[in-house]
Amino acid sequence: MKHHFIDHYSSINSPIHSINVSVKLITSFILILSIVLLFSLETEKLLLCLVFLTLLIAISHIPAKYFLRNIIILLPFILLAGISILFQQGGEKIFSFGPLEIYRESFDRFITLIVRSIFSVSILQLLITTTPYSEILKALEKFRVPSLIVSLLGFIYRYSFIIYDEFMRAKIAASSRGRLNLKVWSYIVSSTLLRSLERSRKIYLSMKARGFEGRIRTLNYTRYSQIDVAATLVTMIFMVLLWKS
Amino acid sequence: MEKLIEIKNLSVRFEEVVALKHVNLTIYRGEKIGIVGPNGAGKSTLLMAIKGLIDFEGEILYYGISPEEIGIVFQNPDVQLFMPTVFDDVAFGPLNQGLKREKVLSRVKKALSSTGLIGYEKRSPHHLSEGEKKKVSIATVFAMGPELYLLDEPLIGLDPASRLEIMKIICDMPKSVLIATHEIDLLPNLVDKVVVLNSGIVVADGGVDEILQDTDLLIKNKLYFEPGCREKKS
Repeated sequence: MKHHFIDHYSSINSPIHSINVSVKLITSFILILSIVLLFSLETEKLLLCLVFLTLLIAISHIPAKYFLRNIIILLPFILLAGISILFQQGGEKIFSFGPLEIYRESFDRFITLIVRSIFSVSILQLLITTTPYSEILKALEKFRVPSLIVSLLGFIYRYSFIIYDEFMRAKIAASSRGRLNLKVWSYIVSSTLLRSLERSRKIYLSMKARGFEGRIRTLNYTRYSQIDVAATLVTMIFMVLLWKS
Repeated sequence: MEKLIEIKNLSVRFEEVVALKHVNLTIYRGEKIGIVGPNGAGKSTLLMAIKGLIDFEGEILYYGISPEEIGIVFQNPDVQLFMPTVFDDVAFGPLNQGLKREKVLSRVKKALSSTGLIGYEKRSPHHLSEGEKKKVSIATVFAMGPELYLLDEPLIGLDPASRLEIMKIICDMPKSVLIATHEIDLLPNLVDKVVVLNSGIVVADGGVDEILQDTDLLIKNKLYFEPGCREKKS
């Protein structure tokens, strides 16, 4: 099975792709922190963030459509997380429908939170889309993130392929023999889980056969170039501009 | 010849199913052996028991080696390969052996070059073709420098060109090799000795020519088929 929907744009060439993963992780963290702490609903700040993000997407060579589609998928979750703020009481009432009342202050807070979240998620998405997953894991290991967490993240990635493969095999086998109704779907899901479980057991044996004792070891390479200095500078400039605007 | 492994009265049971029953086998250093038998004969189980991955009854005596020095290549490469890149997968074993960075790098390079995989380092194993995956699987074990290779159906599901490539790799293996397979036609090119296993029991063992010429034995153990329906009609 092919899994081009995962890691699809991580191996293309662009200035963003060539930034060292450690630098990319740190600058992404700083950018998100700047947005969370310094962003407010003002035209200058909004424009600055929009222009900065658009530029980043443009030079990363990631299709805008692909990027936006992923943000739209995440949007309901962002809205759901902020919905409670929208109905907080206090200040000028701007909308009411039965027991539901929306106040100006809460509405502004809600919109700020949503915009902040969208920008932060976009930065995170840019990091994930432009970096092979294995490199992110290595960088996390380098930053002394507990090996258990790094191993778990690695397994989630690896096992997602296994579950997808097993699901597709079961689905193709079932659809080749007739229509897929609710009952058949339930069989597909259960057989996917059982097969995945069996395969994960075998993978564990294979890991054990190669000396695995609970910690995944990898070799790290650290090479820095001028683009890493440029990325750090741009991040700092953005932070200052956001603060001063 | 110097003994490498001696298996005495080995039995493996999975709940009520008996996978291996009182198996006795001696593997000598530098020997290449084919374990043949129909599906469910217990070939894979025997390999896993030798590597020490499953519980068993009986005795397995290791002469001058430990189970850690035995490399096993599983039948399904998707089981063998679990790291995000080919390089990481091949380096996984040597790193677990506690080798230094330079040594790991040289082992990985040698393993990739021996299997014709130079240039594949950054590729994702799960995006490769079956033949390539098989080669990476062998490279992952090759990099550990084992004294004994256990290969479970190394040629199954491969196209003729990939088969030939894998066969060349196996022929070039300098150490002892145990190949579990039911594809007996290719064995004369790969091994010196053959052990026939059926329903968990060692039915026969001997030189590769001696066993492969015994048509009755092969038919009895579902390793040779009579001419199919097409031939019968003509």
